Amino acid sequence: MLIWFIDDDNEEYEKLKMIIYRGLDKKTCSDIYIQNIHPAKLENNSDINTIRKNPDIILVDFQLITPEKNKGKNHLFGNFNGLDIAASLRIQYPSIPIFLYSYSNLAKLKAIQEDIADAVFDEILYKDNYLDFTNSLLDYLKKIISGYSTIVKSNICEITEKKNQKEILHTLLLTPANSYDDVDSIFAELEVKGSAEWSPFDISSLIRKKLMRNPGILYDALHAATFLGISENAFKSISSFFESAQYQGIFSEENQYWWKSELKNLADNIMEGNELRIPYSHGFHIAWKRKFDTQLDLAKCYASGDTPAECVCCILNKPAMIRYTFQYPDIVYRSPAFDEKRVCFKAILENKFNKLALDKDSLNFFEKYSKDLKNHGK
Amino acid sequence: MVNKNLQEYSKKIGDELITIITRSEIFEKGALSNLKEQIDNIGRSSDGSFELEIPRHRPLRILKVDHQIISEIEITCIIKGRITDNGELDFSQYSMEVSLWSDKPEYCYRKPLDAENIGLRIQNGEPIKRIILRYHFDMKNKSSTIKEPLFHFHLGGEIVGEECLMWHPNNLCEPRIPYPPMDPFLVIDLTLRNFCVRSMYEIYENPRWQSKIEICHKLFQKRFDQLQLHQSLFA
Repeated sequence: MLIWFIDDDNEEYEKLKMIIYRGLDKKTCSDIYIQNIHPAKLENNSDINTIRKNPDIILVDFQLITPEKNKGKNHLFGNFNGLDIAASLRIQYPSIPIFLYSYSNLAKLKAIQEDIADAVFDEILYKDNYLDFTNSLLDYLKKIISGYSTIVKSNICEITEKKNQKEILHTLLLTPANSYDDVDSIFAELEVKGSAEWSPFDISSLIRKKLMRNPGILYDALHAATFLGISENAFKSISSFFESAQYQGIFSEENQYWWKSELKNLADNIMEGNELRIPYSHGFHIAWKRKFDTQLDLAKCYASGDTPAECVCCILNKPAMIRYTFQYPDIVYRSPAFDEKRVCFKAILENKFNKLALDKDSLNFFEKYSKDLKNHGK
Repeated sequence: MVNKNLQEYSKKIGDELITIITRSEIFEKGALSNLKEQIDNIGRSSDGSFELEIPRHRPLRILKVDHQIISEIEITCIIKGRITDNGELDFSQYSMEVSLWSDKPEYCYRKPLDAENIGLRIQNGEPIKRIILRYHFDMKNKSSTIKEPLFHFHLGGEIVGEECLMWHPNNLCEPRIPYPPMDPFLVIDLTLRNFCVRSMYEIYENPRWQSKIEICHKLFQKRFDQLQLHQSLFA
């Protein structure tokens, strides 16, 4: 494995080696080479010739060259950071994962920078998360490389017929039949962008950034549990029941997801009569109790404490009842296949969301809710 | 000078509620655009005139129903009159109907009671649907000799063709139960909460939906209390 590390600080290079090689035996270490690339040293061909080509992964620091470090340099264009070379890197290496790799306090991006980062990087990785060796950066990088390799081998980017591309995508995802239309709808968004050629990065982004990060087609454990009206712990305790709903496609090693369509099917299989007429969040636990004589722990609304919660607040990432949430004012188009983004009233009380974004009617509801909270001493 | 109540009603209901309903995909699209047009006209009314008609030949149809027996629901109405700036309802005509259809053979054909040819058509595999029940939300008929609450609801209604199964006897319209008047959206809300719980829960539990329904309630129902309606039976 060849890792390119683009950073102007040699100390950071040493830290990265420590993070990557920690706990590995000699043989494994020798299979992984971290190429340090100082951006200022790329002016000479002789320097470029020393660099090993064809990396498997590229890590780019955010702060590459600052005026303080390079006194006497022309400061006309301000700081030179990882975003500045990101677009070039992405065009040059469309089939390789590229990450922004920085400390969280240094990589505070403005909105426009976040847009750029999202468009060219696979992800922003924070060095802080790996310094105490709790998380394995190497394991994570290997999973992403494996995913990219699978995309490349599938030839999805070489084929020009849309129908065949869709079929390959379904094969990569192992899409269940009931989710075909939903997956097709997000695939269609890629077409609307008008790209004549798609890269493995485009396909990776579609899967990791769109499909996995937007609940509605795939659910993580919290969303799956709340959809069923039960707590996350309760869901994990019965996860074997939903094994066939688990996502097994590309990038599945990164995190656990479940297909919403399959969760519904499995839940419906044990539900009867009126249980089938009410939302899954209200009916599933009743069916489970009837069938298995076990009362599952219900999802608790973070705003009211009542059960069952019915959705997940997209800001607080906590379960909430729909009546204590409002629609997130998203200006970006979202496929209707995805769940509507909802924000819990408590997000406003915790100053995580500005209530000025609410329309007048929703604001009235929020004011009533706050008043009720005060009256009940919550 | 535009009636502010009606302007608010038109803007909030016409623009927002209909958009939400249209996106839900459980309603047949056709009648919604017709409804929107009428709501827009109401908003422009300078004399408080309120005219809304969803005719029987072009009903508001709910196609996806979470019920074992009911497959479709139709909502029709005719409301004509005025709503003043003070919120007084002065209707010359008021009638809402909710018709519940079933396509289940066992509910479409009752062997000892129904025409034999219906049974034969079902046997031949012909898809059949019939109205099982019809609810009426009406206003007291001024010329009626029968005592009626000012605004009420009841079951029944006339049989029109073999489409109406009408398990409820044709000539039994009593009792007429006092009930505050509703606009089509209050009826839609009531219908969704009874028959489309699983598919529409997220819509009608949404504070945004509820705040709009409150506007309909304020316009149509706030001035009425149950006792007043009950006592109108004896007036």
